[in-house]
Amino acid sequence: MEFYLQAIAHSFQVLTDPTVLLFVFIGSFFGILIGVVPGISVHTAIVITLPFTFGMTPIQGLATMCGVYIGGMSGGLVTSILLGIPGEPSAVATVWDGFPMHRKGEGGMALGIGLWASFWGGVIGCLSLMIAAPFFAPYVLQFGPWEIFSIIMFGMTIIASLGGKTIVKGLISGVFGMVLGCVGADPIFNNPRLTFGLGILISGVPFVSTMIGMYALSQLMLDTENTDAFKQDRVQAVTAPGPMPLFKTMIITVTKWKEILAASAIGTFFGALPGAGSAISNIFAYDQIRKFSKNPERFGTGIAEGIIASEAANSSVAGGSLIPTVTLGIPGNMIAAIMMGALLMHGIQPGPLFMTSQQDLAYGLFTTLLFANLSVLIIQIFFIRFATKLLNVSNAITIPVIFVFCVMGAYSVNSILFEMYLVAITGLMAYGMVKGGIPLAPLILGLILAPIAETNYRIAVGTDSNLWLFLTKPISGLFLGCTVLSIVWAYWQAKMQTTAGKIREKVMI
Amino acid sequence: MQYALKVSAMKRDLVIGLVTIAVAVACIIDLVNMKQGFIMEDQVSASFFPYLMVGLLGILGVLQLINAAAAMLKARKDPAREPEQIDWGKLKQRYQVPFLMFLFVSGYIFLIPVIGFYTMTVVFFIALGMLLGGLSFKNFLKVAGATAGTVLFMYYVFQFSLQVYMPTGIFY
Repeated sequence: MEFYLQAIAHSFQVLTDPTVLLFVFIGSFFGILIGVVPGISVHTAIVITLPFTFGMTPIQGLATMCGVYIGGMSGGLVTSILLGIPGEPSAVATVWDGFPMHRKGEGGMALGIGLWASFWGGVIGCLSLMIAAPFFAPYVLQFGPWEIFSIIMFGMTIIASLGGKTIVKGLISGVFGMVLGCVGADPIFNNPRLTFGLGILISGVPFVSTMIGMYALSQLMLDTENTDAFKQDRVQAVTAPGPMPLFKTMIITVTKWKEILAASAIGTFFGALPGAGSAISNIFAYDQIRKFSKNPERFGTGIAEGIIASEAANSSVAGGSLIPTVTLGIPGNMIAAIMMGALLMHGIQPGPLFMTSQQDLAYGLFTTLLFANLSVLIIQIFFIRFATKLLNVSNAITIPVIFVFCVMGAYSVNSILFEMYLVAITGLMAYGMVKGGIPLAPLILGLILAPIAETNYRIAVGTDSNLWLFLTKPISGLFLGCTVLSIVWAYWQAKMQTTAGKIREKVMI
Repeated sequence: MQYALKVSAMKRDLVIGLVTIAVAVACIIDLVNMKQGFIMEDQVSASFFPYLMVGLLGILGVLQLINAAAAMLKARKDPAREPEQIDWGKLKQRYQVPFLMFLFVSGYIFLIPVIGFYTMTVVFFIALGMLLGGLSFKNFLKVAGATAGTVLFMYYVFQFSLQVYMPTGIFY
């Protein structure tokens, strides 16, 4: 207990720095702004922020990203309720009760409930992170290179197997990411590899430009595929949300504390599982809360419990996703991966040693995440009326603005023109990948984790050339076993889905 | 129609397999030509891990190719098979804007060092804004206003506050 009190006291030290609070606030505001615009994801928002964080201290950079992350997730709530379009995959279940509530003329009420549920969920996710990370850290410290290599392999396969339409495509993406991660000087002898004679690649594939191209440009190209229909939907659907009784909605969420706790526990759990994340958690939480409800038939008609289940679950994912990131060095989701990439660019390695060697930063991260929830709540209370107006801003303005900032951001990191060109190249590549049903998340994870996996593999083999150690060491063996199981499981699931599809086709005939 | 969609998805899967194999082969050629430094007997060479990953990528490419080819052969034997028809009009309608947008973006990026960042930004912003929002005068005014605001904001934040100097070409 004393240990936790000390940890919490340590965590709050960061709040004495006003610049950190300011960056959380700015990040939250920007995140909400981007999150509200339909079609532009929180990934895009965090990628645009990335170049700006390099001029900051690591904690300021993390604070800004935490703000953007929480703000972006919260912004998705507005589009879900007022337009019936989930701004984020994490807000899919919010639409099911939020939009019907808005159509009944209670849009303001739905927004208020969503805001508070999101806040409580975020706080519970953060507290879980604050408790779990210091708890696991001493155990994780005992991991050697064999265990770390096996954990990375497990993380890679689980994300690859969950993301794509087929497991092979997911694995292609992950392994291609690992190949890209090998580009440049090797981590032990500095011997350049896979550079194809381009000197600029000796320091590796530029992370920021690759992120911007893959997540911002490709996303913007996808958004413009059907511009006319997209504009029409927006113009027709946006109507005033009605009054938002702040105190009343808070009381509603507090009286539904059981739902909040259950949904937050589900969200934190899914967040901590690499690859699962908020896209699954909100639907799963909604389904579970509905099953255990006394009135399951009312779900989907516009009730508070539905919004609470979805919003508390998707907001608690943020805290959960950082548990494996800070303890094991394996990001729980894409945003945690981008944050991890930002830390790596600052020369800080999340993983087993992070909690002990970078205590200030680790605890600072927890606190800023907690503060980001509060800051988003405050901004949303005052900003939500204005945010609804943003829904009508044309793509003809938002897309060029975002793209120009992306190009400038890519260039400003190292002032190298090649990084701008790379935005176009990786953007086209990512667009092609998405059209081909290949998920992007495993590629990014592979790019980040390849150098860590390679270093640990080479240290392990350099220490003892017996490769069986990867299997005979209990934790390493367990994770390699899980790696194989995750591939078999994904393959079996795909097979079952195909069989179910064939049966359905026959029945329909 | 359903059949044609299935076949086009299979062709796409076939292309994915081929591209993956091509990438793996290109990487292997680069690794074969790589200069190896001196290493001790019990050390792992710098090319070992990339070889492992590239080899795995090649295997996955072959797997993808086999899966796609098998699915195509199976679909061809389907008695309910219909003649393959591509709706070019629909394809054009869907991909025209993203294609033009990519052309604009590439033109913008590659012309920045020739023309200059700020000038190109104004041209690009207005061109893309008109492409996405239509050629009306009202849209032009909106886009022009947003362009001016964005460029001034960027100049103030990057060049003035953060001292990040953007590339200049013939113009500014």
